[in-house]
Amino acid sequence: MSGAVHINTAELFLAGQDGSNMMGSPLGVCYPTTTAEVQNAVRWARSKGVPFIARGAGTGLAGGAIPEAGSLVICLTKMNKIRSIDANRRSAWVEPGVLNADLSRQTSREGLHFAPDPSSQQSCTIGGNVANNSGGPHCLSEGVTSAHILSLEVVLPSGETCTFDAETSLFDLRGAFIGSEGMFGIATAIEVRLVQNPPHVATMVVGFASVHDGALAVSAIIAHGIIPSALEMMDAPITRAVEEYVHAGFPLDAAATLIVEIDGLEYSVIDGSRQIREIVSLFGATSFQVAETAVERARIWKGRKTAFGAIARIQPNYYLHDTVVPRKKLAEVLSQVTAIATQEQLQVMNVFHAGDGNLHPILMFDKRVAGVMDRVHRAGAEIVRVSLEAGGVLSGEHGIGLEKRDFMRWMFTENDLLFQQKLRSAFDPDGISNPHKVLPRGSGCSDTASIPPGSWI
Amino acid sequence: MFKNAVNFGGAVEDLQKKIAISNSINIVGTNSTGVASNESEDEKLKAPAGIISYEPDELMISVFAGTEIHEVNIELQAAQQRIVIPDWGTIGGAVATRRNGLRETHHQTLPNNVLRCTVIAADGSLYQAGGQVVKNVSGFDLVKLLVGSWGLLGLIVEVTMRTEPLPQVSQWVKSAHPQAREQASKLYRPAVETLIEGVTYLLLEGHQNDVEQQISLLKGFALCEMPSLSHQYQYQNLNFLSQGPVRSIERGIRKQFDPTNKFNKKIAAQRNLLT
Ligand SMILES: Cc1cc2nc3c(=O)[nH]c(=O)nc-3n(C[C@H](O)[C@H](O)[C@H](O)COP(=O)(O)OP(=O)(O)OC[C@H]3O[C@@H](n4cnc5c(N)ncnc54)[C@H](O)[C@@H]3O)c2cc1C
Repeated sequence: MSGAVHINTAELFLAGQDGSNMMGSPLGVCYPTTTAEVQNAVRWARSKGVPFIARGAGTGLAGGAIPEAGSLVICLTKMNKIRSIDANRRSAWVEPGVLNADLSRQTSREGLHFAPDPSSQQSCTIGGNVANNSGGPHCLSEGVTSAHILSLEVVLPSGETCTFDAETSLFDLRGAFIGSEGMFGIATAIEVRLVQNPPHVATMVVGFASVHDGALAVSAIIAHGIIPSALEMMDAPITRAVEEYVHAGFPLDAAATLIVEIDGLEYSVIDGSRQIREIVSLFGATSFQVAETAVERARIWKGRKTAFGAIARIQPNYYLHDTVVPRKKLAEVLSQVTAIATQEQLQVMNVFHAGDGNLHPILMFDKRVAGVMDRVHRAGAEIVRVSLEAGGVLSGEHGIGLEKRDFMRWMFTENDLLFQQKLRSAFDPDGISNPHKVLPRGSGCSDTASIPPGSWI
Repeated sequence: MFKNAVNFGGAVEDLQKKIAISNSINIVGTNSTGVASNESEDEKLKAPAGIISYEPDELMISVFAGTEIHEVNIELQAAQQRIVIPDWGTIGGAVATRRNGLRETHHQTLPNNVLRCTVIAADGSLYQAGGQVVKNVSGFDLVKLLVGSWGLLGLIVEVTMRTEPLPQVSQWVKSAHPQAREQASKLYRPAVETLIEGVTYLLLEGHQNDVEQQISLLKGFALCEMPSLSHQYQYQNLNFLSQGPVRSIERGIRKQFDPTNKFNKKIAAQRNLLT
């Protein structure tokens, strides 16, 4: 095959990890630069009976990029060209290794951007976004990645190449591929939809005396018929940590802070901000600031998106959770999360996409403390349980990977899972593309099992 | 433990029993598509009807798939909301055919607005896809697959959809001028921009002043009603026959979901998806 397979210890070590706390031991790693090279790598793996796994920047948090022992890692970071930008159609063809933030930087001259904006956008790849159907603060009004992908060029597990788009199949294979966590093949080129940058933006920072008040205000804003472009919540501990780290101007006396952004045409922004101000004051807002300039706005978002960096100053390790609950249950589930953390004697912070009901409790710990991992895992499972009990789902944007695989049975029946497996089998009958992720073991629903060492399940 | 498994009552159970023993089933709504089969050996089955739950504050409605859309719209209008599907046929029919209504705006397309489906499979068992929250997908996205599946993957009995608040103002404009598209590109995200038989139609929505200001930017456009759509426009995914590996995957899916070719044989044959 063309393109070298690297097998030195350092590279294998790096390719064995991602943003989760898990670890795998791959056979080798290669860095293809063209679709044909990806195809060669897949064919080589097939011919040797070796599983393969696509890898982007390795920022995934659910262990989706953790290679199964003895597999070939196909790392796409060298396929990082923007092939074309069509400003008229408002679309672009990009290679999978293009970084999320680079794409929007490159298209900003045309007044356009790629809407999904994960907090990791400076380092994660568009290929990873597609595979995890990633979200971000602005996905409240814009929708997550699947709403922004027009077509996909894919190297299938069979080694064949094909294109999925709105026009070449009856079934929506493009839609089915998005969020498949590398298990349906490898995306080698992606046509993204670009959206116009908004002419007017108002970013508001609102303080509340309790998380409960803030959560009720969130429901009220949406129930009032306003869909902000972003509606994020931070509790007091994370606000304090972020403030010390980036000085974004967040209220330090508030128990909960909402970042509410509304964008679009002039009057909708003026009118929407006025209504939001009225609603939050009805729900007991203790402070209300509006960013006056683009610089102030950027500082607020920097504060929000570097929250994870800020945590590193408090505890050496953290476990970032991801579940979704109905909006009306936010206040209730958040107090359950606090109780769970207290029970397990863990520090917890919350910074999350409140408008979608997408929780991100962050459990903080020092893994050198004996027995702490057990407590972290128990707390994690409890958070999943209370979210599902409230009528929610397992994951909003980080995916299932290895982390939540065995929780799938908590949400789905065996039959539900069987039909997910059927879809997987249609794309990858031999189960060689990133095997053993997403679907739980046993009952014919998954590829036959082996778990990487250090995995959390 | 907290599984999706919901008791949908006797009507769904009866359908499950019928499907389990039948050899050839044609799924029908109100047959607004005109593709219902006329094969006499086909058993014609229809999803039950009725609204299961509607929570305007959560922007979400759950209905039996046989519910007629105009009935749903009556409920929605009372709460100043709407769904993306236009006003005819059944919800299940619109979802199964991925009907392209002009109401679809930007990302507010039908596939992005279906949050959960409950389906009766070929063996009579029930499976669910998605969940009843905005970020609905955990695991593989079967909902995307079911939207536009033309009944080839099972009988959809329940659909949960996102609803959206009605905009303050909604105004269609049109122009047959060759430069109409260039004009349109001056606007900020018209809710809909579409070309039908040489005429560019735009739908402008939002605050009254914004809509007026946007219209003032356009030259040569006239106010109009919502255009009516041809059959071909509505059912775009029916216009294509897949090829090569894409065809193999489509056949693989059909085979996995309906191994004995029970559902909608006629459509499967037209699409070359009989297994
Ligand atoms: C600090 C931090 C903040 C984060 N914030 C967010 C957030 O706000 N929202 C959010 O959604 N996520 C967030 N994430 C998670 C993560 O960044 C996203 O899931 C991201 O999309 C992963 O991209 P990646 O390039 O790092 O993919 P990787 O981690 O390398 O891979 C992820 C999965 O995608 C598969 N894959 C990668 N490339 C391809 C390809 N070309 N074809 C097929 N499969 C492929 C892999 O096999 C794996 O299963 C965060 C992570 C961190 C560390």
